[in-house]
Amino acid sequence: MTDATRDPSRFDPLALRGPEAFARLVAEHQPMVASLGQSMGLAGHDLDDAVADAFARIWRALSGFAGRSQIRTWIYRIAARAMLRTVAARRRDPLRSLGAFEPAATAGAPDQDAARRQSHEAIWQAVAGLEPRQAAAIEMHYRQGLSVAQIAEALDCPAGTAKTLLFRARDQLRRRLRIEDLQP
Amino acid sequence: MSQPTPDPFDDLLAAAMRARPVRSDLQDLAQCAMARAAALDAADHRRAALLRRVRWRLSLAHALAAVALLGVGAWAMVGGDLSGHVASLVQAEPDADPVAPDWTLPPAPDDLLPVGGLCLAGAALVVALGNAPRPTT
Repeated sequence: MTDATRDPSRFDPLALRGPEAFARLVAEHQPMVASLGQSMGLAGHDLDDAVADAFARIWRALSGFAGRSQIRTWIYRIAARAMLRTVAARRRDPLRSLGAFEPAATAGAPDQDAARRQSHEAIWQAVAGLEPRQAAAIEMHYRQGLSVAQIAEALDCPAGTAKTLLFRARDQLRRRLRIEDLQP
Repeated sequence: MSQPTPDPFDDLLAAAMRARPVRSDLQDLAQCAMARAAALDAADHRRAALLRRVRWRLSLAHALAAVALLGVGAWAMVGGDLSGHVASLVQAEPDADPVAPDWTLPPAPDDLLPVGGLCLAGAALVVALGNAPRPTT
């Protein structure tokens, strides 16, 4: 988390309204929202579309943001709902497929060795193949470091359900991936 | 209290998830999102207007159905007495207009009593459905 996001004035609901404040909010949280979509298996135009849709819903809901929850959790909540809707729509459409990744130009830093990158890609692929809510829980917990309570708030479910989502997701990943084949 | 043993699989998972490059080069996303939000607002307004029209028509249909069912039910329950009463109302001055149609309802058979009851119950149901609370948009 950057110093800017820790600044309490950034969580002032009134300070978030207005196009300029919204542009700052978008610039700051775009990677987080895009990453959530990627974890759910969205890529390319589908991902762009889902991210734009999520921020459109965030913009519409901004007037109702009372500042009771953290802005990050609140954004996650709206974005997760929008992404789940997009993923469900894509899965109903037989002409589109999910689970594709961005082209190699954007995937992987040059200093990563091939084996590590291969094992990372296997993990990304396996996460993208999970049920979307499980993938979202994995993304929020392992990438963004959200607690179970925050995941529950973001996914709009009881903490027990969030814990079960995480447990089942980890269990499925364990079965799909052989730990001895993975490079740290 | 002993610390739980760290799970190597958890570490691998966290490392892989954090290493994944993320798309962050979307141009003019804020403007695009605001334009999309405006389109969503417009679509919501259109939907609300359509719903209002549909509800108005439904209310009208409910009222007509209730009146029709009440009429048929009353006719079936009261039978010939009602038809005679209606005829007397319409033909207040039968001699004034020689071409006036003979407004007489056929007397209802006696065994139509259950049908009349059903019609009245149907009218009550239609009125109740017409007044049932609906979700607001």
